[in-house]
Amino acid sequence: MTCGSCVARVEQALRSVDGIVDARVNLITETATIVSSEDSAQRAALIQAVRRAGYDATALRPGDRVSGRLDRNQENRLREQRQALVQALGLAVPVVALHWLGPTIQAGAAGGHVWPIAIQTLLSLLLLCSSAGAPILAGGLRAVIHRSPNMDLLISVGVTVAFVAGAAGLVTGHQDAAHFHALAMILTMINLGRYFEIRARRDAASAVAALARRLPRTAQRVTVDGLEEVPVDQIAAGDRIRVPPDKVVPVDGTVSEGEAACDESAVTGESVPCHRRVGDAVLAGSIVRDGLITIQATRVGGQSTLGRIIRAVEEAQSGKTPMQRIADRVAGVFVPIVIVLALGTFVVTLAATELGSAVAISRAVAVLVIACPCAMGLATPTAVLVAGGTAALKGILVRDAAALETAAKVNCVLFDKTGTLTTGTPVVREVFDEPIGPVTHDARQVIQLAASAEQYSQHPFAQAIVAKARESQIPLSDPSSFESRPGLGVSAELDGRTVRVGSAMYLRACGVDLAAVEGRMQRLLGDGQSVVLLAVDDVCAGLIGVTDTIRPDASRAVDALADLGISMAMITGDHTRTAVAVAGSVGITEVHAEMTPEAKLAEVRRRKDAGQTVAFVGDGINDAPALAAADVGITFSSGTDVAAGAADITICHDDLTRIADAIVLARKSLRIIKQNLFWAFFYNIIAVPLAATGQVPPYLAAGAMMISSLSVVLNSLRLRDRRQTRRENR
Amino acid sequence: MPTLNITLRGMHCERCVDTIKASLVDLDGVVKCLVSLGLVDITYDEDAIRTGEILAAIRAAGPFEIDGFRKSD
Repeated sequence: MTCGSCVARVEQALRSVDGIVDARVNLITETATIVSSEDSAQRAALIQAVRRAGYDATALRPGDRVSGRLDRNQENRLREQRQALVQALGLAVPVVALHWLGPTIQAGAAGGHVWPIAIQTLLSLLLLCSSAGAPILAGGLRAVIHRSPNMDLLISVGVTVAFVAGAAGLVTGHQDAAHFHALAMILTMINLGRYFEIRARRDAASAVAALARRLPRTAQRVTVDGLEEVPVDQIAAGDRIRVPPDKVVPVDGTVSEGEAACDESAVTGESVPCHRRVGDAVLAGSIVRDGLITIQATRVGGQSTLGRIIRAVEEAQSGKTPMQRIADRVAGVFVPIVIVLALGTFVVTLAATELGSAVAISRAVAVLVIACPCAMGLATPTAVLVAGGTAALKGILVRDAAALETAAKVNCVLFDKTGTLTTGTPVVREVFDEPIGPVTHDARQVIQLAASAEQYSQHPFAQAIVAKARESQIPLSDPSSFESRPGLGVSAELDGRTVRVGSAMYLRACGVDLAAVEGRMQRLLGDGQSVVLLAVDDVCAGLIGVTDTIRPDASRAVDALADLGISMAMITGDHTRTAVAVAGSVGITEVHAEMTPEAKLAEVRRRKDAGQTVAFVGDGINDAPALAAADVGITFSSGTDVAAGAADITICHDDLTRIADAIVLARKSLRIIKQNLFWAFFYNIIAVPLAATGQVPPYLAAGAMMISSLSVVLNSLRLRDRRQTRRENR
Repeated sequence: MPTLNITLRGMHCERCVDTIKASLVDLDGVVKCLVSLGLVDITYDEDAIRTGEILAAIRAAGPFEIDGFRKSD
């Protein structure tokens, strides 16, 4: 496949197979993602369909993306292209030499004018048949048979015309070796350009390769006989794998023996190594530090978290944006137009000037060769590919090309509070004891009583209190009875006393008088804290202030977005006081609190109707409608359920500042796509007339064309992170 | 020997009853165990097993939450 129309043909062929719902082809990685409504694999039918369209296909095995087999294919292609280039040079040099020396030889030789031309004819024929020329001719033929004109067609026509014109010299006696010269140079330039283009494409796709390279090639499997070294793509679920210190975990699994600190930063961005013990899950791509573990494989190859990230990134890179669809359509009519222009050039040059048929042919060939439809077809996909890869290495998964384009236009970000700006796990902030007559409980006792009563409750506040007790090393007592009222509180019998822990409403309903603590309660509430009350034998004995922890990176993230000129607001279902407190410490000035899910949705719609491009940041479960309604839905995802979401942007790393990173990258991508399209279009507008008027000889025309399409790829490479390129070149 | 009367949330069907029964019956110190939808009555040896361990075993058996319990001797 060389360009957008090839992609369209293959997609069409794939979709024509029974039961196929959707097929998306990625030009740069040369992979296709198929959605099928049938359970059985239709691999044979799909490969057939592709072959009938004139291309070739092989089915990917489950571990291939991750194992680097795709990488190796690309390396093979590069090698093949290098060979083609060598052949082209080998045959072209004599042709060109004969062209330049021709007049001298003819002058010197006695009557044997024909043989330089004959040799050139032979060499040119060889060129056309070699791997320097044959693939192009085959491509041109396919374009004719399937009526989908492409660049190969243009080049084929060009070199064929040149060959015929030159060979005609053998017959007619008019010897003009310029045509063979043109042919040889064209083919050489094309192959040279293709070589660089494949290299550049490889660099463009390298981010995914870098992700895949994080996994080792082999691993140690534990068997009855001991350890065996196995290739990673042969590990099956259930296998026991031993991972020594400083080695990378090859597959997702659960620890069955040993314990270690695992550095998961490559996969989840978690910068602090997590301690993993027997029963804990570990992720493929994490590095074992300070310990040795044996794991039982759970998800292998493409199914592991890293594998699914890679797949999500690749799928994202094969969507089409509206801009690209237009470019593809233009490319479609482009080739026939160029052929017509070339014909016109020939006719006009012949008719209107006295330059002769040789020059007319030369100019026509130049027109055919200089026109570059590929650049238009490559403009968006290449940029999307590189952007997607760069984003993925930062832990940002963009669902598809359209999401990238929309993200660039975002001017308003709405934040959910709980779980997004805050960690979602409440923490005990303040503890107050209340003297009850002669009996005073100090803060520790308050916690001890509250935690002992709450230890069987699942409520987040209860867990926060129990956590505080554990943290302060306060031992808990066993209640002899326990009763929990969800949403309200718990009552328990501890050492003969009735202990109640819960909300003010609950305690009042149980008959506890809270007048004495009103003041303190209000103060805590005003502070944005939630108040949990403790009563012993129905007398208030203490207050516990609990708050949600604000994410440490939240205010930095807000600042970063403000710097981008993006307006922000918080919408939450939580109480106004808490919401305002959180917003204040994070730097958001607009707060909408106590919002129902419907109200959140309405707010998103209201802003969209007002003309803003709205991004909504929330967790997938509670905010699904708002996420779907927003122009860009952004969620955060923990390691294992990554890439499962339908959010436009999923951020794998626990870092709010990535939102700003994503928008910056999206804006840069859009700029580069526009630059690419602009250049691709205007290059042709300028180049074709120049070629038609004879300013550009055919061999230069070929060079110019390759530079044009190469420059689109190279411009797209600017989307790579500088650190990324350095890392890959290691 | 004390008896613990526990009310639970999260039990849907007979399978849940069996699951909880299975997780309790083999515990050291459990003498008698009656499980029905939403209720567990368990008689146990206080020296061999603590209240907390019994409740932890129930919670570990599935998505069950303790609504309340009462210990009687």
